[in-house]
Amino acid sequence: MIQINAQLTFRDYLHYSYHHFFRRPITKIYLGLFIPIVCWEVYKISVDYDSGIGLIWLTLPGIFLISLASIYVQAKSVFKSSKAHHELIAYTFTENFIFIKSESLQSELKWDTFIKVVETNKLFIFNTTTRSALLIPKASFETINKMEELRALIRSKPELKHKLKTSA
Amino acid sequence: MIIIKANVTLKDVVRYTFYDFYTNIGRVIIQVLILIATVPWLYQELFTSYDPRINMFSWIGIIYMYMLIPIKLYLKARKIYKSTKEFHYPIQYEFDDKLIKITSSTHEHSHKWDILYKVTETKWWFSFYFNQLTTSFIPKAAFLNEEQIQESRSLIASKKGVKQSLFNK
Repeated sequence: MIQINAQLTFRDYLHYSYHHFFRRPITKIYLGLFIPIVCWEVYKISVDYDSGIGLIWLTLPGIFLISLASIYVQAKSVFKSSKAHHELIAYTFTENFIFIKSESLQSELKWDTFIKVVETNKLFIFNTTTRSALLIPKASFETINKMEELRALIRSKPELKHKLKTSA
Repeated sequence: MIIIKANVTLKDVVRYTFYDFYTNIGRVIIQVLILIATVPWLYQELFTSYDPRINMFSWIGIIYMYMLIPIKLYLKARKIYKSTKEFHYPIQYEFDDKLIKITSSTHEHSHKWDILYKVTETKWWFSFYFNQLTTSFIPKAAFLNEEQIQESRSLIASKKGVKQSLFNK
């Protein structure tokens, strides 16, 4: 049994929002096109300064920056509207269930509720659908051993897809 | 206590996804602007002149707005339905004055009313928003009768701390 008391901060939620954004196939395709075009424009200017800057050179980074800014604004507004994120939540992981308890909510989830678990530098992300997830900040773990125990528990679930960091 | 047993179908999820997308005020404004811009153009294209440059860009816009977006929404809804295990089994909702309890084959969840951000009602469902993005919806078809819908509406209306947009309370 592994017990963790966690409180999600805005920075954690923002990290998740950007993580989700950069993992979307459309973002990968966009960046795959955007980076070569920008490199080409930079190369053209470096070879011939008078060649000028193409419109695409301004449009592509513009769309990308607007997307990043809108994710920030949306994350801020979602975090503010979510009362559950503002409470201290106690998570208990057992062989069969995950128990979640806070002042306002109580949940008992079987492991097969989750479709995938992803570990980032700051979070464990337990995806319940392609759009929603349970977020556990790594800063909430008291020891590295506890984190390693959770990784081992996740790995022991054969049906559960996971993408975890390798042990320290 | 009100008990509702619901089976969420792909049709419910598709309808919900479309509703959620097309009722966003920003998207509605963009749709209306594009409609205003494309209707006179279509009229001109079909009945008067022909300019291949305008033609290409306008057709790309029209195909994107009226064909690709709906296809994308349908595929997204299908993906959400397939990936959400709780939709594949009956879900039981229990409401009382203090708590909302949701039970399915994979989880059991109960929370106080004041954790909700908003509750809205449409012709087809009640939506319980946990924040601006995350919702849980109950199809109206799952209610036993109109009295049970009215009873739920009254219970939601009595929760003054929760924002709500309901039909006649």
